[in-house]
Amino acid sequence: MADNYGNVMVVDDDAHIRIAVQTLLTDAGFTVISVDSGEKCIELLGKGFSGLILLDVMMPQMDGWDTIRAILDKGLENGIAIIMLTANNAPDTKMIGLQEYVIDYITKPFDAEDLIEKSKFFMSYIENPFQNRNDA
Amino acid sequence: MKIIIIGSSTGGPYILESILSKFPVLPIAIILVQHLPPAFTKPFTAHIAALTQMNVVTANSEEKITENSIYIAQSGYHLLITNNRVFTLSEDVKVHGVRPAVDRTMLTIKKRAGDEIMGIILSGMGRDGAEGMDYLHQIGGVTIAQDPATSPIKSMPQAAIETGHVDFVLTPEQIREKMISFGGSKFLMRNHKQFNTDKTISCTDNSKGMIL
Repeated sequence: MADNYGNVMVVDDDAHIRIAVQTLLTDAGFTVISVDSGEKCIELLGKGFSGLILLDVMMPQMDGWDTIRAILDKGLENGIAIIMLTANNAPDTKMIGLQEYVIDYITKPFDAEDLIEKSKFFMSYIENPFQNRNDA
Repeated sequence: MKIIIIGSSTGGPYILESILSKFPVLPIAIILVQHLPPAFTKPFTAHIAALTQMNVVTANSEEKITENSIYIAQSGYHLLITNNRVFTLSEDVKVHGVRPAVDRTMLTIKKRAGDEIMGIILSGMGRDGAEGMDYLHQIGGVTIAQDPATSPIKSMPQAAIETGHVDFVLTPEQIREKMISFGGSKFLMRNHKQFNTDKTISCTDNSKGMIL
């Protein structure tokens, strides 16, 4: 039976990044879904997604920080861990106040092995990264 | 008693794994103030406990601080220390946008005869811990910042360094070595005339003289 390390949601407006990360992590044994905006991330969380979120910072309309604020405002922070995946290696001060909810920060271009290892590592912080919270 | 306070935020949990992996049981108390969401205090504590034979517990109010132990600050509460020996949890307002705040913990440490203090700041956004490190240095403690070049987010260690009162700027591996040296040494005094002679550790040493 193939490994299943849990659910990952890739949130990035860049299709190349979404495809690259989804392919990489699917091959590594994760169950991966990808969306192109913070709004769609919120929508999936509302439907009960549980697992690791790899969240881009710079996106049109709702950026990564606004997305986290919306997650907190809607009380959707349970059952997830958030890693920022970003081209910006000098984090925006908009992160102040959200530090507790961003467990790690990976700068693009990222190292594939590092991304896989950190995804496995932080998956273990999530109580049930395999199941939709609404099905629990 | 020897007490090490480690302040850490985004990027810190993964770095702490490398610092504390197979960490020897030493007669020191290590206090970890890691910014985390509330649900992660328990798995974070479990991760740390799996790394070392030190006694690893989540810090609670009125709990006494003992050697051979690692204490984890609970998410949602500032971790205050009375007389360097007893914890109190506080729901006071967030500081630097976080609770627990590293500064709140470090600033409750007192200069006390027989106690030796080390403060460490790892990866994170903002400047939590800078004031605390400055204070620990003033009361004779040893202060270490993670080398920003090895830090996923540089601003917390950078803010500590900019106080001008960080003794060492080190990689995670070097921080581990310093902690072990600190725990295993007979005594430590900043401003002592002897210098650390361990040439195997390459580091930026801002100290004026130290035994480790």
